[in-house]
Amino acid sequence: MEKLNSTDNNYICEYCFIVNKISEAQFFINRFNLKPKKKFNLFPIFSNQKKDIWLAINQDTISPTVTPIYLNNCANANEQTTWIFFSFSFLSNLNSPHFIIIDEIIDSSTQNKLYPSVSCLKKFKRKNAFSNEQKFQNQERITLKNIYEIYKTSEKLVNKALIFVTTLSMPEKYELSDVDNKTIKSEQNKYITEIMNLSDEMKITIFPFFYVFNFFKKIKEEFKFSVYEQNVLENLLKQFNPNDLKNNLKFIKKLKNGKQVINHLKQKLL
Amino acid sequence: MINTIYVENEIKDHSRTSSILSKFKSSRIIYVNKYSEVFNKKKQSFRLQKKDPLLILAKKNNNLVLKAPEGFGIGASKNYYFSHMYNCIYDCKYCFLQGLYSSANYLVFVNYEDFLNQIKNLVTRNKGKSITFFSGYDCDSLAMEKVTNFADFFLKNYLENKKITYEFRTKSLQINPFLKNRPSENIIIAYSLLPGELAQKFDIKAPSINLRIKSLKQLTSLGWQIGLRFDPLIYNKNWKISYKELIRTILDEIDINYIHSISFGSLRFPKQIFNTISNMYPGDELFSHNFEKRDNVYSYKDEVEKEMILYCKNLIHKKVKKDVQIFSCTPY
Repeated sequence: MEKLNSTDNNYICEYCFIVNKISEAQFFINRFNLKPKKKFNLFPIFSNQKKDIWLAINQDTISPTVTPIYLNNCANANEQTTWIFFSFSFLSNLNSPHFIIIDEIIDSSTQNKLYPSVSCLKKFKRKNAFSNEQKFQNQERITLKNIYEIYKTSEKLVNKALIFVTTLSMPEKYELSDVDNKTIKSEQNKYITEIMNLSDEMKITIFPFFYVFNFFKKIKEEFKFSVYEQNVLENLLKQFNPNDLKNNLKFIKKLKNGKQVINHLKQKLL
Repeated sequence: MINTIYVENEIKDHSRTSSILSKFKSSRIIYVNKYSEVFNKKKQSFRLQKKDPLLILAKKNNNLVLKAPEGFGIGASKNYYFSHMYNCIYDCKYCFLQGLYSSANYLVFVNYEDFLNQIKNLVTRNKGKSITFFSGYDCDSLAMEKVTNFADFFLKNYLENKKITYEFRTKSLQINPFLKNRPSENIIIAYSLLPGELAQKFDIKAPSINLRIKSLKQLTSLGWQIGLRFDPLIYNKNWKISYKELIRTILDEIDINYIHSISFGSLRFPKQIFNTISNMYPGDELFSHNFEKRDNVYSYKDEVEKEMILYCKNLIHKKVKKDVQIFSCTPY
């Protein structure tokens, strides 16, 4: 196997997606224009051109505990990366697709449980899920293959609030192909976008210093600063509340040069 | 609104659990074996959870009543504290709870009777000694009273004994249990107090100082013993004027005959907690003054601390002729 992260790791991995099947990956591949990364040959791994979005598809032949670790290494992910597990599921009591966040994962064989974080997820419908494909008589239970193992491994890698276990539950009587593709896409698009935006907001609260640092990097890319000005800028930014910085970003982007940026920030601190 | 409640299986049929759950009819309930599966997990974000805290109902099995840290006392020979709850609905920037737990979720222990039993055991074991039991170390004693009814239960069932004092430390206006019951000399309702402008900046989500003073006034008018806790004393360039005004207002408003005790303690943090909290608020004014590390505790310079405490003590002595007990709180 090729050595991971040997070169070319000058990028920040923002999102890692894990799915069980190619049909579940399709939406992400299209939406983010993901391309297969053939040099990683243990799992099918995809990423976009900027390498800030990555996706892995579980393989039946390999333990699912390996997937998050392998993807973490391939994507050069860090503790600020958002992890989204996505799967389709089928429920008997539904008439239309429902996007659901999982807040309790039950290992069907041992009955052990894990509790994904639900911080700031008030708006989403939530349910528990069983972690295998065993057929229940009561089809109102969501089963998500491999989820127990995947979640248990992922929670060691990142802040728990940044792992989202998601499913699009569909009426049980349908096969995946029967459900209107447009409906699925629009549901996925709506909710996955919402989660990604939410996780960006959450990161400002969880990692305020990193937000300021990333802000500094962004501003430095957009405007020219002398070395002295860079120091002034860095010191100014350290005095800001990250949320105030976020609110100022649009205005700052409209400014003409680095001097104006520094003056604007100084004014704001007065 | 609390959106999710985790309930330990062991207390799912407890009457207090049912009573609390009945107040959150639309919340999602998730049953867990041990509260620690949710509360003690690593890699959680306290600040994020503080934005949207959940409730955990559990049973406390061990360490229900603990020895209070050195320097935490109001004159008794023995000091203990107990917490029917971990974490607080307020979000005071200097609060050590932010660095103490990895979770900001509210953890309520419903087995109140066990706390009282433990208190009784300690009283028996320390027969004849004066003891103070403090409530409100790991939480605000009264802030969640509408949900927990802890103070109400306590006032109806506590052990009366001349040698024993109980302190409810709070910033809350939830004083109904005290208004409903007869005052007792053994019970002190102690308010944490800051000058108004500092409270506005740092006591986030807590009632204003004026409202806290109103509650103090109401309590003393009914004959309850109160405590004034100027802890932490926070330094800024106008601190003398601010504290003078605060102390004057309080002493003008309340019946000073019912002041049980007054205590002062300057802003201080154990090293680990200082690091955690100061990282939560990059650039915040609270941490902009010089701190120094003494015995693994970060606090203002010794001379600043001493000056603040002495100044405030003198203000009190000028106003209060009664022989009020005044204490200094030393580090944790």
